[in-house]
Amino acid sequence: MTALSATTILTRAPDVPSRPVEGKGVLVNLESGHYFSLNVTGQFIWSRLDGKQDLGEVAAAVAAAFEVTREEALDDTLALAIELLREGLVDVIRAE
Amino acid sequence: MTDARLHMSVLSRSAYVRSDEGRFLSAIREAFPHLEASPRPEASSRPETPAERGAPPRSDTASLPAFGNSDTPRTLAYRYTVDRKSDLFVDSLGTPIAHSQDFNLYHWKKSFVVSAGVRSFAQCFWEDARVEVTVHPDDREDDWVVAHRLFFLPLLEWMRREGYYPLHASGFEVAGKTILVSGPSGSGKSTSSLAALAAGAPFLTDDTLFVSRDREGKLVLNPFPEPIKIGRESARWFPRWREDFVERHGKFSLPDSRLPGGGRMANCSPGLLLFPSFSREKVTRFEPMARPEAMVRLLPQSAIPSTSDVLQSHMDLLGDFVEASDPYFFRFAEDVPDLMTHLDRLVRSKERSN
Repeated sequence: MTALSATTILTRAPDVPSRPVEGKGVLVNLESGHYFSLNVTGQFIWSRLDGKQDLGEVAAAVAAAFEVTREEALDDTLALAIELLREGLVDVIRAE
Repeated sequence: MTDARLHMSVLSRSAYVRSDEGRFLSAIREAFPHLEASPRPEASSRPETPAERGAPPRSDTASLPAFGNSDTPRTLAYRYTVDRKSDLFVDSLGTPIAHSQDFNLYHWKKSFVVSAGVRSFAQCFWEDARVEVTVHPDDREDDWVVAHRLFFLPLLEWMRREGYYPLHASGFEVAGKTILVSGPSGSGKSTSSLAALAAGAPFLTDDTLFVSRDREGKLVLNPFPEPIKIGRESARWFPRWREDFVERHGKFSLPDSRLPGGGRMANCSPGLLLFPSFSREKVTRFEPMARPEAMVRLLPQSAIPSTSDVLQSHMDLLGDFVEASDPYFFRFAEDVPDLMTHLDRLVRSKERSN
């Protein structure tokens, strides 16, 4: 699997319909038939995986929104990004 | 730590997989007179089924072809297998079950194909509003294959493309408020329906409804007229219909002609959304549920995998529907005769809190 870092750029995979509900999120992977729920932080991160912002920028937004340190926010962002990548819910736009 | 979490479940079509006998045929024929069975096409014009083109016998999503439109049949989402002997329907992302038949949805040229094994299939041409159904002679006596696989699933997909999104729920009205009870088969939907009817409540639907939008964009709940079906255990609560129930394969069915009052409501708006589970307690209870959890619970009762754009529209509408509803856990106890009293109390307390 691709190693992820603060400079990695991810985008939501095209065949993954999603819907936010009161700050949380629901995603469906049509390939696997699996569906997923995201908590508030997860949905915040998911909504920013737009193929433009790198994970460092996403983490900075997390840190500002949830009042945690940049390091904590980056750890959480990377942890979620690894799960999303493993489940085929995101595509890598820039790997380094 | 912010603790970002991803929780995974399996989107199963088992919510709509049941062993009913011809239950949808009359309703479908009435609602869609242009649906006609066609003669079996010549082999050259018939789409090759996955089994015929050498698809793997195991239901292994990783080894199936990628989803997409093309001139060759492709698996739309994933295969699942149904065990008809045990009447227990299992999503087969993992292991196929013995005595089972495969079922596939896939695109072929400009059509959408629902195949039941290698023998019988429905080919849907959305642009022409036409479905061609081919039933193998060996399947002709199998009402479930014909009614469910070859008619009901194409119908659901068709309705979605027309802006009517299916929801596996019963619906009725209490104190002027719509009550929907959503859950898998055997969870208490029909018992709730009959309790409502017995109390004279306006009745919408027993098992399936379609959510749509009117011209102003407001959400509308539309009934799907089919007989109420209830298990033997639950039927004992309703002795008034003992003579009216039609028994078949251990299920009791109450035809529309036996519905008391004015029959069904034409449609209604979202209200309370209840997710039942049987409780060992003596008294039925309701507890508020967060809307995101309601969305997660509703998804497998509503959204059959489809193309990405159809499912995205479905999820958008479902999200709006959940946000317009008040969801509750419905701890269903043995006090069925008191159910409407409990619901009336719930509706009135909800109105007071608003």
